[in-house]
Amino acid sequence: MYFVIFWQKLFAMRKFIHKLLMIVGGILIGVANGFLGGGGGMLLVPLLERIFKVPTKKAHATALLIILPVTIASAVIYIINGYFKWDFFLCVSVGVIAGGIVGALLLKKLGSFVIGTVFALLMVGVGIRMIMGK
Amino acid sequence: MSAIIIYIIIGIAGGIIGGMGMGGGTLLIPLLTLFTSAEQHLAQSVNLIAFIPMSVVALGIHIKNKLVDFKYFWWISVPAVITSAIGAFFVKDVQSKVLKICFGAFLIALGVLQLIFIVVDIVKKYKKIKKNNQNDFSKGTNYVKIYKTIFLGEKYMQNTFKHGIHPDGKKYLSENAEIESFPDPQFVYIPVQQHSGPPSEPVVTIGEKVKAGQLIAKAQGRGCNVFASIAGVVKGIEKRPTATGKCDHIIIENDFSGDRQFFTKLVDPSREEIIERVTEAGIVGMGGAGFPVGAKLKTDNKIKTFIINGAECEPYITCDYRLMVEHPEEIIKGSLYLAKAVNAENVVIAVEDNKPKGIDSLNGVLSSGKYPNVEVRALKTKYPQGDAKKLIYSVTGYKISATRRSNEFGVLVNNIHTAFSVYTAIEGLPSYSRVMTVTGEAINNPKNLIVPNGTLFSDLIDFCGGNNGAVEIISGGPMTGFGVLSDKIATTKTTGCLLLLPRKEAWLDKPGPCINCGRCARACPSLLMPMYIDLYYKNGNLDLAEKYGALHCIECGSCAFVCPAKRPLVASIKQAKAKLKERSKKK
Repeated sequence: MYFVIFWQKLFAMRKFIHKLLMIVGGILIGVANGFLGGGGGMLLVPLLERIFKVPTKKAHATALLIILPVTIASAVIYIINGYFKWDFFLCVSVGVIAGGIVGALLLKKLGSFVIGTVFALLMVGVGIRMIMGK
Repeated sequence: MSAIIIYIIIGIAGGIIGGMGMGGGTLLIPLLTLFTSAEQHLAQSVNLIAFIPMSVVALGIHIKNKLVDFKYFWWISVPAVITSAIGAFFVKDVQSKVLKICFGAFLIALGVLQLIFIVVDIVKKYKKIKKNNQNDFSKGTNYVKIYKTIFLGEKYMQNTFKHGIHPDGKKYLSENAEIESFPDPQFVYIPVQQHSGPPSEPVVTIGEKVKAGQLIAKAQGRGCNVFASIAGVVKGIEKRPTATGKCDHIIIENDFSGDRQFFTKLVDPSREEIIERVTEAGIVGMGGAGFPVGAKLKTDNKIKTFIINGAECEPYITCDYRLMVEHPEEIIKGSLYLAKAVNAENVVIAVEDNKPKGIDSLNGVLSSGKYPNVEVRALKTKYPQGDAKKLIYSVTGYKISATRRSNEFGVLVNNIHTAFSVYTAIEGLPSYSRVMTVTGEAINNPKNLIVPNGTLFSDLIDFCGGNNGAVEIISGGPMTGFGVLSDKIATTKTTGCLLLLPRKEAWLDKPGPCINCGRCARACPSLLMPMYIDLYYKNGNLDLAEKYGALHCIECGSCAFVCPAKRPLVASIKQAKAKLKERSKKK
């Protein structure tokens, strides 16, 4: 009985809980982006998709909008701190833009489940390698 | 120099992953630190900065496409900006090694999270596919199909069928012409046989005065009622040629009184009422086959899905497309009546993706949320998508052999114009007119018209600006239509198109010998070998022609379309079919 009442209360508070989730999610995303220099989108897209039930395409687009100011803020502070090299930056971003177009085109050809699985396993592998160190 | 190349390659790798929507940055950083001498802090900084120009461009496109939801912006962004600034500020005091370990842990956590999501998705999808295929008549669960749908993506083998051809659509001629009313002509010649089935029996006498919508010929057996399409006087009943043969025509002379007769409007009709009204109003399949819809709806099998055929795969024809654009709500209501008549659970309106405006128009009505059981499905454009069995395969994935009927599989197909006519019949209008496309390069003003049955082709041609050097007049589409010898032939309930082709487009070349290239076999959507049927029929060997499946031909014309020797393959298969049917009757 108590349990039912608990759920009813929770249901009544769902707007509040959603806002709370947004703020908590925002804090986590900020920490990831500022401290680790990326990965905010990886957290934000599933948050939007699975908890707020935003359709996949919309979730990706909305995530871009939210991440953009966060990235600008942390990028500015990184530059102020002196982590910036012109040549390095230029080469990598040329590659990123070229690769981005190829990737977007490739996405249409391949099943998302295969890519998703390979990508997840790759992340775990790289993560272990990074912790172990060279 | 080599460092630059490595940087670019790593950038491309990160970009590809990012372009796939996987958060490329998260892998760009470890790639940079593992394969170059870059320090962790610097790699992070590069990732952040490289992200900005890409996302600005992408965001611009997304906002233009209205994909961005601003609702979540402030609540997530503000705390995120604050914490990210704090994080970025403190990061310079952290050692590179420690930061690397933190990042590694974060990556592992993300990877595991991703794997969990994938497993959850696979389980969900598996359940959904299993649930959807409960009525599948194939034995047991189709694991191969489930595996392919999950791992090769939703699109695998969906929304299209095997083989088929891509003829030039030519829809531009009439696709922007709004539907107009054709003014009632002086005379109409109404055929008593406008459907597949026994001819109807005339119930009017010569000299009798009739109103538009009055019953003039009664259905016999599995037939359909025929109604007067204009108000006037019956002038005679005589045998005249139709597009496909000969039958009695009831000739009515217009008295221009404009009297009309309607059924009573049905409000919220029951299942039986719908079937009765559809039969009474003489509605037949408007796509071309002319099978009486009332008979189709009286099925004993349990129907799960009702497919509304809006493929309109034939070149030139645009009447269904115009209906979709101008009367989406009526089509959806009509298809729901049809679905109710057979207790179908859901309705799929299948439209080829070369008609984006039609799809948008239907979706616009559906977005109100009033019709939850209706779905609009965009199919890949390919001819002959509109054939019932090909359409069922495209939409549901069921393969139905030539000897079985679709209702055994819980699926029924009807044309989009039929759905529209059912709606108007429930509103009270008997089926005596239809939307028709008058088109072709040899007509001056291609139009989409509401034409009363029995109008002569010559009247339509005059109304559309006249004949401009047509060498061939076709009743129906260019692929499955019937070439007619004169323009004094009357329209019926199933004539969706009147096509006038100039010399350039018409096919008057002499056929060459078969070179055994096998293109027809590759094009045949029924998986037949048209060259052999043609060969054996021409040799007079009907048994072998039957063995090669002449009776299973759907007469779509794909084989003749691709034939490099211009052999009239469909024509000979049609003759073989007719001969075979005659022979089986004799036996």
